[in-house]
Amino acid sequence: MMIKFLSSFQNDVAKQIILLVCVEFLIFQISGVGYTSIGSAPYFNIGVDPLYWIFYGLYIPQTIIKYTIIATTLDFATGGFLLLSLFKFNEKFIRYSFFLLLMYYVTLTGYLGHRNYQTGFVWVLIPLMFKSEKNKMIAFESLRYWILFFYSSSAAFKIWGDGIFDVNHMSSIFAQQFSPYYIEQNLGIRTLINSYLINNKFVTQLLFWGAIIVESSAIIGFFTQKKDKLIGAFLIFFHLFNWILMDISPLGQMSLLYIFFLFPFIKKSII
Amino acid sequence: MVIFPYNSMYSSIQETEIACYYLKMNGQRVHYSKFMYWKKDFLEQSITKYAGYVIQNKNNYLNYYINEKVKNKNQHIIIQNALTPGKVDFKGWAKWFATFAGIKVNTHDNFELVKYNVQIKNSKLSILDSTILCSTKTKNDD
Repeated sequence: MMIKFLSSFQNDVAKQIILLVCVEFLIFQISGVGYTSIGSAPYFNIGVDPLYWIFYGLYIPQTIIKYTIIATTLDFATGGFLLLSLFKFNEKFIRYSFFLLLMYYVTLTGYLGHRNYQTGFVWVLIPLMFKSEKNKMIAFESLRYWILFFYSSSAAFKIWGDGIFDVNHMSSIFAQQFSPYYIEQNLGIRTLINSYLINNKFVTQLLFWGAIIVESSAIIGFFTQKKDKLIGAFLIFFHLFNWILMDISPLGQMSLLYIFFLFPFIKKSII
Repeated sequence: MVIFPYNSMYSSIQETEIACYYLKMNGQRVHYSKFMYWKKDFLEQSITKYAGYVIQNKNNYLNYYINEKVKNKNQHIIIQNALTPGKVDFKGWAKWFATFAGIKVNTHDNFELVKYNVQIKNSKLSILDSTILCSTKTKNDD
């Protein structure tokens, strides 16, 4: 039965995506940043973002964080709907999961005080919310274009920003990113790489330019879908390097970038 | 905007010194780098943002933004109450932070919020100076 269940993933795009979202959500929980784990955090910091204003304006995150019973119920409900969608696909479950994950992201980053834009695990569910194959296809295509825009605009910002030719720019960021590890004497391979990079500013500048080139590769996707796998691989590679060198985890974006590998299957209307 | 990736990576950082924030509980720093990514990030970012809020006399960016944009007094109060955390007292925040970092907190524990200015040179970190931003020992927390 288990083998039958696992083999059902091979040709099921929706199941593959949901499985990845489940893994990402599980990692959030294991890391200790689920609603219940956050506890009754007294301070939040949201920016100028209407999406956050809707949720915080309605006192939704504040209420969740205040009452453990609500927090725990929502942790289980989010995981539960994702698992239900995995075992018995239903657009309704996906819609619930999407809303719950969006609410979770807004709460998490509001209380964390910083938006890291790792929202992929939320947006990737949008195409699966639609019943008709045609609408699903349109949603997948739109999401794909948004991802391309997301990364290429990020590259554009770096090009137009004032740090591109500043030799101290990246080495300062590298130093900032790892300073707690040095203060706490939590040293290892990554701090060794980090200290090399801090002291070799030319190498860090090359890495910065390399990151711009990798992010810019998303532009190709606006003209052709033939290079999707390559773009997907480049962007995953970019995130993995960010994890090692910048201490910015790719968790949250992996399920989203995975769709670059799925388009041949999506086009065959397997979902 | 949550769908638009703009952060500080694009503008040049001119400072040679780096600021790091730590909570000290009974004189001991509460460490966070050992945790898995999201929890480590949560602890690091939340203390940095809380320190910024303390430095700004318990205001965050949205306080200033709302003051600037919303002129109607009633609307101002409603929006400010919902979108900003209000005046969060240091002791309550410190207790939450230490508990979240896995430390057992007792009623008589003392807390300090400390800003460290550090410099990393030749693979070595040096703490240039440190400033106590908030303390439960002195009555500077209102």
